[in-house]
Amino acid sequence: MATRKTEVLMINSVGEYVAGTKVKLPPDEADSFILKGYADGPLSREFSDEEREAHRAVTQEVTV
Amino acid sequence: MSAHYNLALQEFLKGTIGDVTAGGTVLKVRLMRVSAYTFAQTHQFASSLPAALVTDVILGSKAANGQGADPGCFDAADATFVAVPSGAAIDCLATYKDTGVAGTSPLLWYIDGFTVTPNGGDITIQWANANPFIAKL
Repeated sequence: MATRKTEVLMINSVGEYVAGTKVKLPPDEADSFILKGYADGPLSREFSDEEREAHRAVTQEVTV
Repeated sequence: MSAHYNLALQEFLKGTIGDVTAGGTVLKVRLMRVSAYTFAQTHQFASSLPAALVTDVILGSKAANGQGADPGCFDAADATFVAVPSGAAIDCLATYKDTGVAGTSPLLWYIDGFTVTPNGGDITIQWANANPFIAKL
């Protein structure tokens, strides 16, 4: 049975997923990318504020 | 001491490096540590770089005019490296045109002057939003 995937529009380039392109990702990965601000797209479910914060907690940003 | 690789500038002048903003041209960014890499103008290809700490990122939304009003400035969307292993600070990066073979992938730009100590999570490189953006020719 085929695994359902979620189509997202990449905002950042993430690894080999190129910014400005639409990619289909497993729902968990798509949710993570959307919650972290790496991509735009539909979430697979509602996320609590705590869950949203948990996704962002270990991300780091540096300006060059 | 951020810098262009002069051998890349030479290729830009000769027109042999092609349109690096074109969709079919793959530009990648590699995170590095200055303890593992010393910039040198003799370096021409990605084979001169140390092994990747994490999967190199392919740049997207590339532009040759900054955000529209700065001709000559290369810009792209921010680059996120996923699950960078914890360890010593990361403090430099290089951009190269990927040909699929490190020994023929031209080095373009080297950037340092930043530091981030990986915590095992993602690291996003936020490019400057003003001239020179990522690099200005």
